Amino acid sequence: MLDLSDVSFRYGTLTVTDGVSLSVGQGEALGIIGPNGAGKSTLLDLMMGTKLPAEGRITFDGRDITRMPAQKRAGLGIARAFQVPRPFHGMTVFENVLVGATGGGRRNERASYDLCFGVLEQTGLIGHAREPASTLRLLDRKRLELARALATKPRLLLLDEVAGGLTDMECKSLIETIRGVSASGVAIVWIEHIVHALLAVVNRLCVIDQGAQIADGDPQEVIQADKVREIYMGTPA
Amino acid sequence: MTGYTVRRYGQHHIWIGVLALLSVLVLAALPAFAGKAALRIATEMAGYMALAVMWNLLAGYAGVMSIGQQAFVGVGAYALFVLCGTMGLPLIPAIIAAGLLTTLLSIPVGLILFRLNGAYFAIGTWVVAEIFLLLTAQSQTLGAGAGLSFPAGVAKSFGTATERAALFWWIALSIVLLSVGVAYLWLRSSRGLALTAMRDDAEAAAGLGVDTKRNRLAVYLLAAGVAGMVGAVLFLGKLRISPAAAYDINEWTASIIFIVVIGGLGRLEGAILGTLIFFVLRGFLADFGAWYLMAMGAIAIVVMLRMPQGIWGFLHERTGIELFPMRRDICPPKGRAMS
Repeated sequence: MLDLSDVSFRYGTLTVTDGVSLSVGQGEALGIIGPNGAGKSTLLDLMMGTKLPAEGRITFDGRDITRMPAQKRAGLGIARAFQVPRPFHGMTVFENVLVGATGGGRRNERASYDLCFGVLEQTGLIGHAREPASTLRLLDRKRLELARALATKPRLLLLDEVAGGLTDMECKSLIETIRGVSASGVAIVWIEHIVHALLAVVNRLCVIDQGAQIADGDPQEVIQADKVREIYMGTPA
Repeated sequence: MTGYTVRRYGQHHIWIGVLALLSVLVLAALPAFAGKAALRIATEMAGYMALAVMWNLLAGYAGVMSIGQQAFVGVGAYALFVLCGTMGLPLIPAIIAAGLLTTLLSIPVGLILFRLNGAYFAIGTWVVAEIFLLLTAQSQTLGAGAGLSFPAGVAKSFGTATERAALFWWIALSIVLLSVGVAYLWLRSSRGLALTAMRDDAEAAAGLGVDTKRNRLAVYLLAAGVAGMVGAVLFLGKLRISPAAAYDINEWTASIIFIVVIGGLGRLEGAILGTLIFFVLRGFLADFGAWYLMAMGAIAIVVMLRMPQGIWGFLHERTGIELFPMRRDICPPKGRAMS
């Protein structure tokens, strides 16, 4: 469904993403891991269109979207939840979700209400629907990130370290929600440092180091691979 | 179906609606019981209010920090003097034409300026206004630096001084009602919600499908059109125009920012309340010369420190009152509670 071929991104002379080729299939759940500064968030930016690549080609359903801006990609069915929750603080939780459900004001508001309530129920936020988004605690803010993205009815959901900073219990409940999303047929690309959370959901794992992809395949096999262990644990003396 | 419903009005909005309708009727009938001088002040107030509502839409919602709206006030005013004064176009079509002209002009200006971000954009808007001022001052047809007087013959054709004051008031009232009406309907809709989302976080909004560029440009065009019409009607009242007055940043931007900030940035009611406060303060303080500006500055600083949301924001937080219902109240299905 989403295909990146030989995609590179640079800040000046610093290469952040270095010739990455990656495909995400229909309904697939792909996890991406890698050390800090490996270029994982940039990879999501490139998929969403928040950053545009210096080289390479990105297609969605065979259609070239390499230079397409984020708001257009949202219309095609790509959505993103940010690492640090970024709620629209001047609105209620419901209104936050409504922004996504109306496609940024393009679709009829009343016709979008049921979608909003459905998503709020799915993410366990329905009880907070009336509250200002700025008053939510961390777990609910992360849920709101997810809810807002789901309200755009995505076919591909990009998750950026959504489990970070949560307690074990909170993390478990968030994993359940994400699993539900994945089971409903939405493809997921999930960047995460908390590997056990990732492994609970994804069916494919990809490892990025210094902007390049060094492993890709079955999660258990990838995690056992020597090269991956080397990056995470260091080389034995 | 989830069983949840959304209510867009509160109980008290019926009464607010009735009150609003009554006040509009009273305002429309103002010439029946107010004199020339009072009508002039009312006209000026309506113009400022329209500018404030638009600036609030720009800065308080779309995140467009323009300090150059005087560019469009000036062009609109000059357009009227030329179209109606010199070329003899009837008054109302000339004012509408002035608004259309500034709207059209704002398209290329906006497309260029929106390439700049943050402070650069703000400075860019100011530079554009200064360029317009210089171009106007160079033009002999526009009276160069000395400006133009509105031809007495054409002014007389609008009636006696009292009749003119009434006519200009009705025009200004129409412009402000139009501005408030359009702003309200826009902000209440899901497109308005998208605008608010952009203000809070433009990148996140874009990721949800909000076309940030188009929304910014749309607000900018509307604000330019209103500024053009306001410039036209206010300088018509003065019957005299010069580049320095028409493109005055203090008059057409600094005062408007003061109004919006003390009233409440990002609230439609804020611009309206702010205009009333501004005119009351000006009425009391204008006799104190330079102290007047210092006092206004001090008041702005105190309000910003004590009530960062402005006076209306402060009232709204404590009482929950909205004059213009934007709310989306959620009503749970029977048997379910909400926090």
